[in-house]
Amino acid sequence: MKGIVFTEYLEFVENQFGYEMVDQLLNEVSVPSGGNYTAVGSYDFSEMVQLLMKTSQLSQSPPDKLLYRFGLHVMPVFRKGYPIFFEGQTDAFDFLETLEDKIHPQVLVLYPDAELPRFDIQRINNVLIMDYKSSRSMGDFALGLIHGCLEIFGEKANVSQEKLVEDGSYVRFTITRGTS
Amino acid sequence: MLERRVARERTARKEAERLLETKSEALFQANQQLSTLNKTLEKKVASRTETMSSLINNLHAGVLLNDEKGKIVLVNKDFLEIFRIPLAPHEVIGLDQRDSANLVKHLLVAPEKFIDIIDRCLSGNRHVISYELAMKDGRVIDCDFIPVMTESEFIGHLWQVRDVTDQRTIQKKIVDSEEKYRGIIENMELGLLEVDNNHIIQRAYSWFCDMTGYTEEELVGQNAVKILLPEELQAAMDTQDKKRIRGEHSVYETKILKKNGEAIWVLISGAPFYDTEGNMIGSIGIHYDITARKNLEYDLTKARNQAEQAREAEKQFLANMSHEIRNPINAIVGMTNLLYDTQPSAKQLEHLDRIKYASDMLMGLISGILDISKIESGNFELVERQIDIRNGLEAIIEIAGFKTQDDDVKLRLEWDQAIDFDIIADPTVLNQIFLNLLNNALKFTKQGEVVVRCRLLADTEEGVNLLFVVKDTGIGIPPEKRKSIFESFNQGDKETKLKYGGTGLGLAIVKKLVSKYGGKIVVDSEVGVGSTFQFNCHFKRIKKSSMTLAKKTSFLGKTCDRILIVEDNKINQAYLSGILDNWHIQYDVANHGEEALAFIEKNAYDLILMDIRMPIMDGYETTIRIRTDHSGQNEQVPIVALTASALVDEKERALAAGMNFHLTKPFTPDQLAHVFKKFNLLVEVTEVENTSFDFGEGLDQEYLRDFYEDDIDRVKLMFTIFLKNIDGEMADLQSQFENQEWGSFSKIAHKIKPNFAMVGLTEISELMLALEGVEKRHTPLARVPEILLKAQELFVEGRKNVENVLSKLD
Repeated sequence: MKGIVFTEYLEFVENQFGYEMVDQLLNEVSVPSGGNYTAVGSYDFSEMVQLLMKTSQLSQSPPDKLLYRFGLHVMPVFRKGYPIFFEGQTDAFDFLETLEDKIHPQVLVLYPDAELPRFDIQRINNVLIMDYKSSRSMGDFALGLIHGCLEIFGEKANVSQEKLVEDGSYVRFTITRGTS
Repeated sequence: MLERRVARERTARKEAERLLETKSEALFQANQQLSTLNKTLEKKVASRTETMSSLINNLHAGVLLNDEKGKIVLVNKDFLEIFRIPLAPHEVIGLDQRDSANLVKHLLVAPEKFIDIIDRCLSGNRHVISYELAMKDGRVIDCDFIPVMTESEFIGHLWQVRDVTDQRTIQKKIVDSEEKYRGIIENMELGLLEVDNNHIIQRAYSWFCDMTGYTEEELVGQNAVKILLPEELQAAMDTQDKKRIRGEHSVYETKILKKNGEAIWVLISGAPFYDTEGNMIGSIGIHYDITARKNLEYDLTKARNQAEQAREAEKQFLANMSHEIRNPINAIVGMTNLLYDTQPSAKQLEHLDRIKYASDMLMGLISGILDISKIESGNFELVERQIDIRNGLEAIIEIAGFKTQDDDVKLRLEWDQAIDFDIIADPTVLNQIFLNLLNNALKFTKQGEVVVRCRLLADTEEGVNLLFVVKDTGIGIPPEKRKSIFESFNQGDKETKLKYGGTGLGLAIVKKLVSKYGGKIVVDSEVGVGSTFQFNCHFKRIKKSSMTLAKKTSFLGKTCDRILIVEDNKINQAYLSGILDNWHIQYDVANHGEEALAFIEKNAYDLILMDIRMPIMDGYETTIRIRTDHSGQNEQVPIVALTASALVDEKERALAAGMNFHLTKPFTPDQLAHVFKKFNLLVEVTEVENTSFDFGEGLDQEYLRDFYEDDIDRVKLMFTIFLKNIDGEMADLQSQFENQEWGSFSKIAHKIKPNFAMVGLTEISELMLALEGVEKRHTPLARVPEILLKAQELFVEGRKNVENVLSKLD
């Protein structure tokens, strides 16, 4: 998993709970990297799982909540770090539709070893259906990102989440634009 | 905690630096590899560019490439040379295409149009292929203008230009030449038609269309045989097809049908034609309308058939008529001869001569016509046998010689010793050929000679080819007449006919007869110098037979069954009839040689009594014919010449012609009986009661007794006829004497000589013999008045004595 996810996660924890939580987290987990994360490196996905579980334990917050909030936190970071993907985009649906065809291929050009989830996207008028597929079952992170995206474009929409497979590796998001 | 945070940050930074260091190293390596790759690629590009530009320079075509903005990026030398641009390729690169077009404007015949096309091409990305640019200097430039695309992107234009002046000039020449020949063909009244191997019409030229009434569209694609040929002729095309397949061309005539169904005749010259690989792909026929000619041909054939039918009818008519006329003519000829013996007056004699001339002529004409129609109708069959050609020719020459009265003309035979064999031929045909030619030659020759030449031309297993020449020194034949003399009724000219007479059939018959022996007759002549007739004949040859013509036959007292009298003189006929009746010998009487030959064919005779001078065919010729008729039963029959003259040469001629003996008229029954005995023929002479008649004074008692054997009736008849005619004859003699017409004078003397003898005036008869000799100079002219006077004196007295005898008998 890309180093940026770890550095941003620690940033998110510090934002939410203060650096004491980060210090405690890094002192208590035992990860191969020793917790000295850098954005240009790559670390094993299991380290992220350990960090998430320890955070949940320390903060008394469920992991899915944490993931959702991490998604919300990271979206503006993406916007700032990778303005090229947002260039000329004015509409959240249009932007989301381009995810699988434009953004992910370019991410793979920049980070050939990145492991990305797959999205099947279907748009019917004001409804956008995004089917998430990933062995990492980070559907909540995705939900956070979708909300973050709507926020960036200043839009409001009802987003429903439906697990198509129990382990969360296949999830359907139905985004319905508000009529207001 | 802060310390821990800082330591963590430092560790993370160091970790990041280490990572970056590693990445940077990897990047450097990658860069190095890229740089190497780049160099390799540059080399490849350079070599490819070089190949391309040399290729472009060697294209023999001008090439120019401009980019999408109209800037020239590539140009070769040929391009610049073609457009006479005085710049090097590198100087032109980078210029605007439109600017360079302006550079060449002045060279073009229609510059505005060219600029317009360039503008349209540059703006519209359209391609133009084979646009022909006409230059002021006469050159023609072929231009291709092609937009260059890479997948979907337009990146410029490619110009390709070629100087095609030479090709255009040649093409124009070819087109001009084709145009020229097509023009010629179209104007030649020849209809050309091209068909493939299945007769399907590929092309029909306009004259053919005019000829048939179809348009080219109606003909092309049609089967030529089915649409053009009448059904009955379609099968015949197979022959032509087979010829065509063998690569043969041929010319043939056929009927074809026009669109309106009308048939026309055409002459077709057909020839196969081939593709470039030499396969026959069809044939071309040149049609020439010969309908008019065909119609003419048809009309001519019809006319010819009609004419031939008419001619055939005419010939048939002539032949029939001739046959019918022959009998009455025979009567006229016979009676005329009889009249000669009736002491006609000079005037009557003249008329008789004319009748005789005319009737002889008519007879000759009719015989000629009969001969010709016989030959032409194919009824003429050769009756061939072995012939000694030399003997035959000599005999014929002799006969011809007898007929000529002119001693100034010599007749001779030049013989080729190489001919030492006999031939197989029809003697009648040969006789007729030579007699005609010789008579002709003699008729027109008054002085000099007539030569008959015979030469061996070829001697092969199949037979011999003999050349015969009859050359005279006569009046000759004018050049323009030389061909026509061999046609029936065509003589030299009218004058000749008037002067020399003749039927005009002789040479026509000769020509036809010669052709029977595969020969040809030609004449060479010079007017006033003479004529030479030459002809050849093909005969079968045979070894000379040891048997000679003059085979002696001995007769042992044979009974005389039947004899033939050949005599035109009715008195003599009557005289002989009387004698033979007395002797109980059967006989036939022929008025001339031709009749005699007819009898000869039918009957076998023990003896022939032959007068010499007869119309139609004289005694000499008749004898030769009998003697040469090997098939006949009378070839060896004794022939006794009865001549009115006792001249030695006449006797000799008679013997030469093949006669066995000679008896001078008038003769006594005893003399005749003697002749019979000479040939071992038994004669039963019935002794007549001897009344011992007294002929009185002045007459030759002994002669008369022998002659008449006291047959009073015969004496009466003879004496009466004598008295009836003799005065006129004597007057004639006198008048011819006064006119000094020695020919006629001699003839009359010759004719009346026996008449005197028959009445016992032997002395006058001898004087007449002397007078007869005047013409041939046996008697000097100076003595004639004296002899004539003597004869006349004796006649006055003798006449009285004859009258006395008659009066005693009454």
